[in-house]
Amino acid sequence: MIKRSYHIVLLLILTLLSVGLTSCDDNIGDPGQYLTQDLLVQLTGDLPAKQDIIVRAVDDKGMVYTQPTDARGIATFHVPVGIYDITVSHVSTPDNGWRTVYNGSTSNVVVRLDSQATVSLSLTTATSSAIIIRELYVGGCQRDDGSGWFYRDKYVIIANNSPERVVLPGLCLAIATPYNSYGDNKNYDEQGHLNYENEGFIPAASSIWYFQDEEVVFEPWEQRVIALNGAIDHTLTYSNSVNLANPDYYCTYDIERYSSTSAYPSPSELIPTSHYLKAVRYGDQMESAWPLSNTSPAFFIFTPPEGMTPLEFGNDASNVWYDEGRALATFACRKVPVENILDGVEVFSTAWDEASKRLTARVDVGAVYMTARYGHSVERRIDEQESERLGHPVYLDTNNSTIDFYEREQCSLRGQ
Amino acid sequence: MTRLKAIWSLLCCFVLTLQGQVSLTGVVTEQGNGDPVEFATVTLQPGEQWCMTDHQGVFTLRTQATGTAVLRVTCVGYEPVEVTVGKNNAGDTLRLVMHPTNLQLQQVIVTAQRKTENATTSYLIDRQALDNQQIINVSDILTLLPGGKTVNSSLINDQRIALRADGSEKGNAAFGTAVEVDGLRLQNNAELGETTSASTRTIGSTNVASIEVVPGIPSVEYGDLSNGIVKVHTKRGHTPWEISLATNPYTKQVGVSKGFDLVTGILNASLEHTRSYSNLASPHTAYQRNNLSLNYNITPTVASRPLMINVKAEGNVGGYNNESDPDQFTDTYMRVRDRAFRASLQADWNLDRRGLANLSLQADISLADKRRTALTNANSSSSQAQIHATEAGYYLATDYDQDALSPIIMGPTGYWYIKSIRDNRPVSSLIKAKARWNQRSANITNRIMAGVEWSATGNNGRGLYYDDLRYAPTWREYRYDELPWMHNVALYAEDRLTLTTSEHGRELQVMAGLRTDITRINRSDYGTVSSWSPRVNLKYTLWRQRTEWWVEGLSAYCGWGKSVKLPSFEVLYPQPSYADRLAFVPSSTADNKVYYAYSVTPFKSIANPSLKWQYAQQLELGVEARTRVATITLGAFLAKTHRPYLSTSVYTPFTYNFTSQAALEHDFPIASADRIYQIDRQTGVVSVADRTGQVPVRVLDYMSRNTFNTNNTYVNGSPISRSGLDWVVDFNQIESLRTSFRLDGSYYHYHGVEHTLIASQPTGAQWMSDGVTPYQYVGYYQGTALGSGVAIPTVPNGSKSDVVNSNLTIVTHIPAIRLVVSVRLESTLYDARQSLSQGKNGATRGYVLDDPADYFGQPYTGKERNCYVALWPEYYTTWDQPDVQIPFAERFTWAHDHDPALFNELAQMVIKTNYNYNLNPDRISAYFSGNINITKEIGDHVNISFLANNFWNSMARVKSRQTGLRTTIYNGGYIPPFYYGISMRLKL
Repeated sequence: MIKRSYHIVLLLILTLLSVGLTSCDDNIGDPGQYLTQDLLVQLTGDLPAKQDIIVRAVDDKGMVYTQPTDARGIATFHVPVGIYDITVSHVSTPDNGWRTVYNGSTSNVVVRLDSQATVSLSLTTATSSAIIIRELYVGGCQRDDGSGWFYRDKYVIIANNSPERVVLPGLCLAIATPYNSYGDNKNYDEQGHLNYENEGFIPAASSIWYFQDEEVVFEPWEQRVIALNGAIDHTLTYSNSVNLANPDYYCTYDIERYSSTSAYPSPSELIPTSHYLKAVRYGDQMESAWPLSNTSPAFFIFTPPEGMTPLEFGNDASNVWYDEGRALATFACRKVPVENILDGVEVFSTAWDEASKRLTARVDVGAVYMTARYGHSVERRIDEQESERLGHPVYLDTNNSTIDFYEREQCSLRGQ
Repeated sequence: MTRLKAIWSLLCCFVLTLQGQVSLTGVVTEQGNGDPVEFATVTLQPGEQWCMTDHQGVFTLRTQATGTAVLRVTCVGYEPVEVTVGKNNAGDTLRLVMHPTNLQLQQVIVTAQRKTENATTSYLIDRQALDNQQIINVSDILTLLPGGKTVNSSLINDQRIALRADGSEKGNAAFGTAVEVDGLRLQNNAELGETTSASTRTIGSTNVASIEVVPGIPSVEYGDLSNGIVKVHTKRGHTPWEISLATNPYTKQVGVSKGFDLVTGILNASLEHTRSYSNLASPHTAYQRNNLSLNYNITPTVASRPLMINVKAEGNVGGYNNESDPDQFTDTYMRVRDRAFRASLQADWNLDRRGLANLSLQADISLADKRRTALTNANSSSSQAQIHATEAGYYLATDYDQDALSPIIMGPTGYWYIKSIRDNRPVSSLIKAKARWNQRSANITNRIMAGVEWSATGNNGRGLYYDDLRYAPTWREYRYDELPWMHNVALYAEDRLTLTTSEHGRELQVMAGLRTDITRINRSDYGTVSSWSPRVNLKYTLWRQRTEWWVEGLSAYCGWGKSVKLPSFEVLYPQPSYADRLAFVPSSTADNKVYYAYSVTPFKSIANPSLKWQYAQQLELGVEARTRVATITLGAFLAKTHRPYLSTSVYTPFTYNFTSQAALEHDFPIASADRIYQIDRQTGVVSVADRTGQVPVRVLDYMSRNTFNTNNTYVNGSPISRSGLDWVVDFNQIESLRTSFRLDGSYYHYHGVEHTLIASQPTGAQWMSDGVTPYQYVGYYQGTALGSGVAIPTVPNGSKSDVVNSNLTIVTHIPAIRLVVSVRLESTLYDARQSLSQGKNGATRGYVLDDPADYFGQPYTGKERNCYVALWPEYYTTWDQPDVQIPFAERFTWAHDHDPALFNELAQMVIKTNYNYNLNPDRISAYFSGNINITKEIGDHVNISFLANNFWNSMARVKSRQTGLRTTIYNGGYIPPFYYGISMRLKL
């Protein structure tokens, strides 16, 4: 009997010990759940006066923490120990249709238990116009017979994101190079920087498209759909496609320069010729169509430099920059000053792990991922606060595609 | 019993000495069993009298020869036998023993052997070497030549043979290389769409007995070539059943052959099936060869002289097919036939009377069917113009259902299939006769050959067409069978003089010949043309068989020759091209139809009355030495291609009218659905009628566009030179190791710079600065670096290269166990190339730029490194004044300072190098690979070969001096990828 009691006591002791040890293990195994430390983010650069800037910290588990900066430009977090990506994307209050956008990011900031972490984040500034790219649809859709995908139904929607009338001295569409985000980008230097990053321009590859009007006027909140290949009703053949035969739509159509009628079928009779955008070609002369990527373009819109028409800008042989340092006419680009760029969107392909940016931080600090071939598009998010304030949908414009854009599973014109 | 017959025959033989003639009689038997060797060829050299052995292995050869001569006996399946005979042998019965070809022989050759009896560079590759290398396609034999590079044999790639040349060079050396099978030339002149040497994929590789490669100066008997000849000999004679099986990752092969004794003669039959595919994971897309070869040989005696009659027919069915490939979209496929039928009749009468030694007659016919059928799927949301117009004018797209034969059909929308057929059936035929005379004195043998040859080539194909015009895309019918045939008559004469001057075999051989080709080209602007091809070869044997000397034998040879390559149909009858310019672009209707109109301008290559036939001059020197340790051959050659054909552009001012959709706007009175468009075929003016008849016809406004029509013409380009060295050192076998070493290699140098003035416009749709005028200028540049196609100017206008390849082959042969193991180490020791930009007569060409965006700089001298170079045209002309040459440099410099618009326009004519290192000299560091081949005989009936190419699967890296970069040679085109194969031959 004593022996049996001894065994029961021993069993109880062992049970208590094992429970206790297990509890300790739990605590040691996930210290971040309980152990915290201060993280100080000091913003530097040309900061806006009298404005709180929201700093965003995201840990490696995806937890998001936000803190406003104080008067010294410091955001103080109290976060679990771990590794954080810090980003800032701040837009100033509009001033005559233009806004200043502050962007900055840094990765792999380690917060340890033993001491507070301090990180300095330098912000880049860029001016942002009210004219924005609202949606870009380039990925095409599946054909009805299962033979593959159709991609001649691309379009872009350009919008006036303000209640003000905006008058532009010309408006041009352009793409940066390389045409796709994946593959080897030979325009990076050994330090991992784009070799034109500090040159104040973005190369416009191949050719540019421009509105025929000397002045391009956007009424408040006006949106323009521009068909980028065929301004016809594609749904008659491809049920997953879009109908771009609409009298209000515009289209890139200059059949004497891009003479491929399969890439550029004659636009619908509903669309007036005044809605045709013209092309000026200077590179990639053998292409039958504007080489806008079907998967991952770096697309931007700009106004020509002061005193120049789009045609003069495109023809200017002295303003040449060669993609990959290759001096063949095929690789000739025009240097578009960053200050003339109204908006840009960097699209990465979900089909590739590797991607490299082509737009510099002053145009677009981030990128949006897109899946091609299934009718997806990339579209700008709605800025809820501004929309509420102005009583009209306002699109988010922080010069950061990662934040501003999202991937639509069905482009907005589908079914219209 | 057989032996008794042989002895009886011998007893019946007698020696006849009539009118100075001598009869040589002998019997040929097989070593070991003593069976007679029937249908062996017995040849007396010099003089080339010949006869065949009968069923008892007995031969009788009558000759007027005096002095000594070499009697050579050859028979398929046996090693050749040579004996020296003299007048004293008359009356004797020669007893010759032949050894079957197998690995029990003391010497086995698995590489190309230099043919020392010829006075020019030639190599012989025998069956053992072909088996050891597992050759699937005859074009792969270049691997076995000195300095040759291994290729992984497959039929998927239709690799063509080009001797002493590299693919990227000017002058189209591949087109100048001739290929013959049993004396029947594989013609490629009547091919449309390519200008290269004949495909060898239809030659059954298992039926090949040997291949002779003559990269040097061939006899004048061979014409229509400029880069040597490859002669394929198939199996002939009484042979056992032979079954060949081969497999490697990409090819499977099975072949059966047999030489039947039909009492009246020998029938050789061969059947082979070979299937290659390119994708291991999907063997459904494949190329097949199914080859049947029949060769009947009889040797009757006519007027107491042997007459050899050989009738051959060879056929092949097969080709490329992906119809069963599940990766293809539903119902789509591509089938390319590669059918061939070749037949020849050859009669060779060993007359040997009054100096007339031999009469030969040959008639060949060759038919091919290369029909390509493709079924592809198509889709479109908009109607496209399908242009079929062949005459100049303006045409409007029409619905197929309204006019199925309209010059422009409005294509469908939706989904459909297109079936296209390219019917391509080249034909060639040839008849030739030749005679040989022999004259012989005490130490001089004079052999004269004269011949005449007629050949005709044409094409019976329909060309490209579509089975349903409703879906036929833009295309023009061009019937090959309506093209005239090309006829060529050749006359040639050649003298081979052999002078023996001492008892140590000192000998002088001189071969001099002249050939003329008279080519008649019907309905061609070139009419009838003729050319001359003189050739001389000389060989001096200082001594031979001086076994007491370290150098036991030594001879030297040299030669000079000119050879003319006839032009291809591609040059003579270039397919017309068409400029289709949009002349009217109305908008798409609600159902996405567009009534496009086009201005159509057909072009035919402009005949150049001053065009001369391209020809090549070759000069070669060589030394052959047989020493106590090795046999050494060294050859050097210099080949210069003169007046190579160069296709250049010709620009002619042209105006057409363009009507845009804008002409139909601004409240156009006729509703879209009621419009009936018409276009004036001559003026291009568009008018619109009202279907309802309520509105009178309206003529639309148009814009005139001044542009250029681009045609092309052939001119003679600047000469190209090639030179090189070939060497082979065959070390004697180390008997204790049963191992021999062979060191072979080649040095090749190429230099070609083009100075011909080439007209060019900037590529693509260029416009003037005003944005509404098409580009108005044509630049004239000096030279191009491109070797084929229509010449366009490039910054480099030529190149030079120097390549040294060297191979070491180690062969261990153990007759006792019938095993041969060969290891071959291939190396490229030196590979240097440079693009050149050189002006005429040493002048500079191009400008060195400080920045790629610049247009001006210092003259490029050829010494600068790491710089961008710009090329300007010499002058330019304008649309208004096409005959006025405006100096570009002067005008461009002025415009830079005074006229930005003109500067922008002229800047488009400046051509720059791609990278800053393009004109740097390049040198690739040395690289190596190794192959191993094993052949084992199991008894007398089974022979198995195994090979592994690049057997250590090299991943080495090479450095380019031009870029400074290191790259891997793995899958880089330097060496073949790792590859293995096994083959087996059964003799029954």
